[in-house]
Amino acid sequence: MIKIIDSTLCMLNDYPLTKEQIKCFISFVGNVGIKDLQINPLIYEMLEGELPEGFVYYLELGTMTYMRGNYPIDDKIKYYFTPKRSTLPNEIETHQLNDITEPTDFHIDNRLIKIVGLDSLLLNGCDGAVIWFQKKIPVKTTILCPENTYHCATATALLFLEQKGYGVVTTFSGIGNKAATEQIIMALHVSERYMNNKLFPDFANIKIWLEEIVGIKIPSFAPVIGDRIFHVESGVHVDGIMKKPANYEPYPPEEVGLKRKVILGKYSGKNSVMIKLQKLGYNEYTEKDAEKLLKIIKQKSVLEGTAVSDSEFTKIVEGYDCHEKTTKNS
Amino acid sequence: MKKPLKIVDTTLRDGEQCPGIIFSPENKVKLALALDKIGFYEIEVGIYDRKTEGKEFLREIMERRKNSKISLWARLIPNDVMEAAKQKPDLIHIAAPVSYVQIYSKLNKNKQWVEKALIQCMEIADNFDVPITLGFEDCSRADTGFMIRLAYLAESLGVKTIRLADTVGIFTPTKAGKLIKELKSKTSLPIETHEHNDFGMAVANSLEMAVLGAEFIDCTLFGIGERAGNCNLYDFVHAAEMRFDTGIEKRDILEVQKLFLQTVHKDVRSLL
Repeated sequence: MIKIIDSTLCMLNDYPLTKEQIKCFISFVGNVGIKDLQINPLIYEMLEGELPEGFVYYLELGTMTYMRGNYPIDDKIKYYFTPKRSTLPNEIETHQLNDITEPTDFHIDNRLIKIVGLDSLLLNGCDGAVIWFQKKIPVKTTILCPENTYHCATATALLFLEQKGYGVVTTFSGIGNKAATEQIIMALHVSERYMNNKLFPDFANIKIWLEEIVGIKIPSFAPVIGDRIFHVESGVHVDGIMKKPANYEPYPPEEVGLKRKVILGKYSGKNSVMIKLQKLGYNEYTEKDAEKLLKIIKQKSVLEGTAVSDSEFTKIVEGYDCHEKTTKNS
Repeated sequence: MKKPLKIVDTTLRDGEQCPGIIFSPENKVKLALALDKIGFYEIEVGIYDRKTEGKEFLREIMERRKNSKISLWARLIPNDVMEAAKQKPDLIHIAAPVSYVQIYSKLNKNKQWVEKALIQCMEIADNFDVPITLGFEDCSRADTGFMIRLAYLAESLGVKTIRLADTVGIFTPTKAGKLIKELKSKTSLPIETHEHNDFGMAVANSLEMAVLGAEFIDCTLFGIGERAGNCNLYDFVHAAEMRFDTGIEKRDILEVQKLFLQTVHKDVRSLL
């Protein structure tokens, strides 16, 4: 069983969240197949204890909160992520390991533990990482929360799941320097047929939700959730995609709530122009016209240093109509 | 001592294929010369296409660069290779589709066609005396047996390097590593990696392949490229520098990134 515990909500302590916003997020993550959620006392408080049904909750506790014991005890919370010392059966010790040279002599007697960090685990290769997993930690009872200092967190989480690790802790867009939930889901979905028949249009909603809360736009080319990742300009790629999208797409854009779009620019080919003409309702143009239009598009895009938008293209077509087409007819 | 690792920049080729990012010939020269200063082994400056950007920019880059090799990208089409060869770059990269999906549904050809076309392209390269690096396009969905056969053929034809292009970005470190190990055990051709970041693993995959013996790593500034982009240069150097000597300093990358941002259209800046 692959267990992905999303902890996005725990990364948002600095942003004012309302009860409705939290519920909205939880319903979106439920729709993308996440069943395990890490929350903290603040989120619990904001929800006034009304934890939505259908999820397994893990409550993350800071050292002071744990020592003082002033945190919610609730049947709906299955586990508590505690600082190193844990006593009750539903408490899971958390160990920060920044480096694989740090000692791992945990005394946990078949209980679950959580390991956070391991930023540099993959820097010396996966073979070494796998040996470390096998020799140094109880893989089957470990929940791993890899951190992303070296942009290897998603890969580390996947490797751990490949090694039959108990579970991983991730966040959407990797916020808080973690592995990205959406990247792991899609990597497993595409390569391992994980949730094979499922679609994930709610990734797009989660992205918008996160942008609104944090007030920062997620880059347009962010894996899985960037709004432009299925835009395509290169003529070679457009041709390939028109023949069969799988030629140049790892998965159909609709699966993650995005759309494919042909962009006109320097690297466009004749086919891109034909596609655009038809899409905008200009049906009477020949390939010869498309070639001439392409020349204008390439010049314009190089001159301005950016793509030619649909409205600019319409103007180009109309200008072309006045000159070229009339001369052809006359 | 740290192991040397050669970095190939493809900002001006695959990076420019990122929709909306377009360099004028002048800006290409400016960026290529800035990249030339900071320690790349090779700079891939574009796809030779007379109609799109002419050849003046290439001539100027070739004349003024001091350190890096300058390469052009070409399809596995004899005429494309000929046109590129006439420009006399230091290297030509030929992209050969190797997955069945690309060979059959994109090109409507078969495996024999790929081998035949490679032989023809290599004859031309030979005549012009231009070294060739060969891309295994879409290697992450391809049959390893076919790739090994093609690598043997490539080696016999004088190809210098095999570039493993994870065209749709579906490699994981484990899968990428498996392919490298397999190829390394069967051929002695040097290996170059070309990752895409569709699942956010371009850096980890490239690094894993370097650890297992890949000698050349393709990167772009800001990781720009098709879809979710390529391997981010800064992030890669940051991850690799403990073990490898890439010859590139992070602060120099930041400087070139600044120049890049000044160069590109303002709309592009907001996308990164």
